[in-house]
Amino acid sequence: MTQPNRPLSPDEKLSDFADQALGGTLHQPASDPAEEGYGLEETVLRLRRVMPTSALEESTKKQMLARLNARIAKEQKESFWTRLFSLEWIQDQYRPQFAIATGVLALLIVGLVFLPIDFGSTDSITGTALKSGNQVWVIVGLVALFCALLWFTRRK
Amino acid sequence: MDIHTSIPSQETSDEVLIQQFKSGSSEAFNQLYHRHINSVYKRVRYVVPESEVEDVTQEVFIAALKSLHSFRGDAQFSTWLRTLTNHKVAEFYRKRSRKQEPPLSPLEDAFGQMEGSTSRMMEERIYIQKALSQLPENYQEVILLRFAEALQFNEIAEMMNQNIEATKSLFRRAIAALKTQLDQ
Repeated sequence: MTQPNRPLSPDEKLSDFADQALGGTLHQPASDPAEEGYGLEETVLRLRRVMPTSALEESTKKQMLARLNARIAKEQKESFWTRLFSLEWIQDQYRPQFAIATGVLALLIVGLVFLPIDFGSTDSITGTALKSGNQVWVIVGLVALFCALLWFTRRK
Repeated sequence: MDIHTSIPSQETSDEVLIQQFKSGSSEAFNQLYHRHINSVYKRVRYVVPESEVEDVTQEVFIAALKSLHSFRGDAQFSTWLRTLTNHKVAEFYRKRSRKQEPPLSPLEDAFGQMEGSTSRMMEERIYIQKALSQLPENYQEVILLRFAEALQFNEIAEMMNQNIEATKSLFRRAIAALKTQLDQ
């Protein structure tokens, strides 16, 4: 509360009004309707009247805690594969980086499979997709993709 | 980690409970929950549709449970939890907008558990929540601290590292900005 023997600044006046309104001792604006503070006091009263402020009852707290426990237990039991194939993680974890990383990996795999690169083979025929050397790289690509998926589905 | 229901010990400080939790005591987290659930719930309830309040509150405590081991105590636990709550509320609205739902859905979203509340009041609550969400962060914060968490201005000033005059000035500007939003 502010000292009563000096004129209150508009800031102090409104904060004192809010203290009293929240304390339940004021239900009408204290300022004159012509004053600037009147509309602000009305807004304070509106917040006081409309917005929820009640505390939780002890029984409700306990019920909420029980539901929180159940949710934590459920999340712990949920297997990796359930999460992986639920597809919810795609929505939950979606980020532009995820799309970019997936796209790059996909291109890399397509490139490895279809580009005529000879990885040390002595075979004179080039340009054949899925030669034994390429297959290794396809597997490496798939493992990398899998690792990337693991990375993006990790819990933060 | 399972959290068991029990009566919280008011004597033990948050810092001690956090240390106990880090040493493996789930009961310590339970006590922190009991001590802070009201302030988290009230803050969430002020800005999130009624039907989503419990879910978002749960998200806050699950996030706290997961990241409490990395809590270094640079800030008070209540301040840390308040920041976590703000992040979860922001995340809630981000997910909601990604699903292309309206930022605050119509009345049916808010009814539910609101016994005794009139539809007019619920409508106005949603309208105010929407206006609040349009305010700058420091304006929202001072309104939430005073109205939702019922902190006194001197407590808010201490929390915001300001003097009380600056806090009251911020409060007045926040209410004026809210009034402008509501009048639009």
